[in-house]
Amino acid sequence: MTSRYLHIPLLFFILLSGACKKDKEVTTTNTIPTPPTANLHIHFSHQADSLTLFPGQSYTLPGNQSYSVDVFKYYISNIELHYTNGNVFKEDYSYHLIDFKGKSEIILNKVPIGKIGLIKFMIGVDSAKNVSGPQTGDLSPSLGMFWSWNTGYIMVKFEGASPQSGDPNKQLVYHIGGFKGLNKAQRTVFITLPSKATMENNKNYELSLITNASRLFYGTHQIDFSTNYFTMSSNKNASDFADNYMHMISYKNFSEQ
Amino acid sequence: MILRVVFIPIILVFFFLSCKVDPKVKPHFDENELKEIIPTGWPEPVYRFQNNPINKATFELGRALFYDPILSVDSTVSCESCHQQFVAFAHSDHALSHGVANQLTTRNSPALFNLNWHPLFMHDGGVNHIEVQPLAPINNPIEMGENTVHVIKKLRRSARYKKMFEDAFGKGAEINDAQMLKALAQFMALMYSYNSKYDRVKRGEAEFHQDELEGYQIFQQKCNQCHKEPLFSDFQFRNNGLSVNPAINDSGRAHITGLPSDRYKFKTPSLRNITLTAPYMHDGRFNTLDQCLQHYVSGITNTVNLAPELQGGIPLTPSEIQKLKAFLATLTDYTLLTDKKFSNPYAN
Ligand code: HEC
Ligand code: HEC
Repeated sequence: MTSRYLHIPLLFFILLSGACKKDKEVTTTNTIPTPPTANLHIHFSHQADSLTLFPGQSYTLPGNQSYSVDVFKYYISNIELHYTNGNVFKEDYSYHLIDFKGKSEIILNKVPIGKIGLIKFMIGVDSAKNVSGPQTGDLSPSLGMFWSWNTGYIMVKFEGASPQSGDPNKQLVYHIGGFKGLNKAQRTVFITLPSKATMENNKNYELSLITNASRLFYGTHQIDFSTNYFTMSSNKNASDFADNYMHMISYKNFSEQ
Repeated sequence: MILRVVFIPIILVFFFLSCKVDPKVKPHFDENELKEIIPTGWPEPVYRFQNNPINKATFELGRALFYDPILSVDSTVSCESCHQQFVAFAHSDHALSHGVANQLTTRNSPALFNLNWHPLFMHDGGVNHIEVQPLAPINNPIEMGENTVHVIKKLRRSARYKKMFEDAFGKGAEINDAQMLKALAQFMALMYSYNSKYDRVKRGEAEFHQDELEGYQIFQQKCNQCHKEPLFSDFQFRNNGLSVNPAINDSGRAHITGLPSDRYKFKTPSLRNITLTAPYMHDGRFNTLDQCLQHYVSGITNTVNLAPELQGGIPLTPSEIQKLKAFLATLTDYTLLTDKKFSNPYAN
């Protein structure tokens, strides 16, 4: 009975201490030593097999199809660094839109030092972020990477052209998305790093990765431009592309900056 | 005991003295009017205003946006163009809704109320969250022909909106898509319909006439398995036996899922306010309730995935139809239709 009202004064104490921050000086000095960290820049270089990818240039694929690219954007999310000592660093709110004509670097500030055995990430956006309403930052629904009539993110967007395209205007349009069921298009990727991927305190490192746009079109599934030149929904075709692009990113180099 | 009672006011005084009190703007109407409502006996809503706390400033921002043609490319179409309060936020008289430049969309505007209980939006369930729903009409070239980036640019140029966004989201708040969407969602999510005669009967505040009562019994036998009380829908997707319009060939739910077993299935609509929301069905093919009822009696077409309950139709005599209609009329909620807080803020 008496304890019933006890929470009221307590509540006001809490309010009191929280509401008027500026009246009180924080006097405790931080005595805990900051753990050693390094900064890691993850850079994506875009290629068509062994050639550098430029807008509007023609590239040949195995099997003699060719293509050029105008738009090539994709999500990289849920980045994890797995250290050889067993520790795992997971980036907070890890969602990055990579654009071959724009942002192609992800900076992880203040990650633990040590030897990284592998980097794990997702190409695409996990299903949780596809069902939780409007997001901000790289996940803003205004970046042309969000379907508004069939809610969900476009995981990978490719627009270009090919003389082999079955489209009357010779275009190639692939908006690959879909986050649930058999046809989901997000893919988890593991890339193992060589032993030089070791980071020391207070230093900057660059992990250089290659994104090979040509790998959208071959690998697990051979894409025939004459019949398959347009995709804008979640379906089997989209998940075929995903099976291919799962292998489009590879290790290039690791160095101190 | 006495000690404690004295203690509380002292703390209170101390609390107010110790901080500069922000001269917060006084609300125009009772703020308590804006709150989540779950009428007794109703299921738990899907949307609970998580990350979108209810307050008057956000609500008023949502209202201003809902009624503002700034959301459309040629400033001719607002949400209200297709969702009008006097018909429970459906579109009066238009089978297929008009958008910018008078193009017709291929679907009929649904009424908007009790949206918090919808697990999915649109006739095909393509939209999975009330806060992203407005992106669909804004970005659709036929409906409002605008894109969010441009809308945000226009809003940022407006001093009025700058102030409204700050009132809603705090001083210096940026005008961005997520906040615009939350405000629109909050405005729509507070459109409750729970004050029809049916609701008053359920609460013991009114009584059905004989016809209405008999109509209710027929309803419970023949319609309630899909148009389930108290929301008058379970929001599941079904094929209710409409013949396929070859000009549009709308595959419904299958358009989203790609599953053959979803072909021609559409979201079961609520029958609340049904006397007002003509025309009916996803494509607005029926103009009257009589046509809808006649459809169930003699118009069921056996297309793929027809709901098993509707095989062979639902037999109803003319007098049963009259009683059913009398009951359906008790589902009209005049409170929602005349509630000033949902009216056009630009009209005087
Ligand atoms: C040109 C007419 C038009 C305009 C303008 C319009 N809508 Fe709609 N609205 C529709 C149609 C048609 C549908 C059904 C679409 C479908 O099923 O594909 C719909 C569906 C909805 C739904 C889903 C309802 C349900 O039961 O699933 C909501 C919520 C909604 N609109 C809100 C809005 C908002 C907010 C705006 C303004 C940003 C807006 N509408 C502008 C015609 C319109
Ligand atoms: C098997 C499930 C089912 C049963 C039983 C059923 N309906 Fe329906 N009803 C639906 C579905 C699904 C729709 C939406 C169809 C569409 O839009 O294409 C619908 C649409 C309607 C509409 C049009 C609503 C609107 O806003 O456009 C009315 C009116 C209606 N039903 C009345 C009734 C009545 C009255 C009964 C009982 C005699 C009944 N229904 C029985 C599933 C059912």
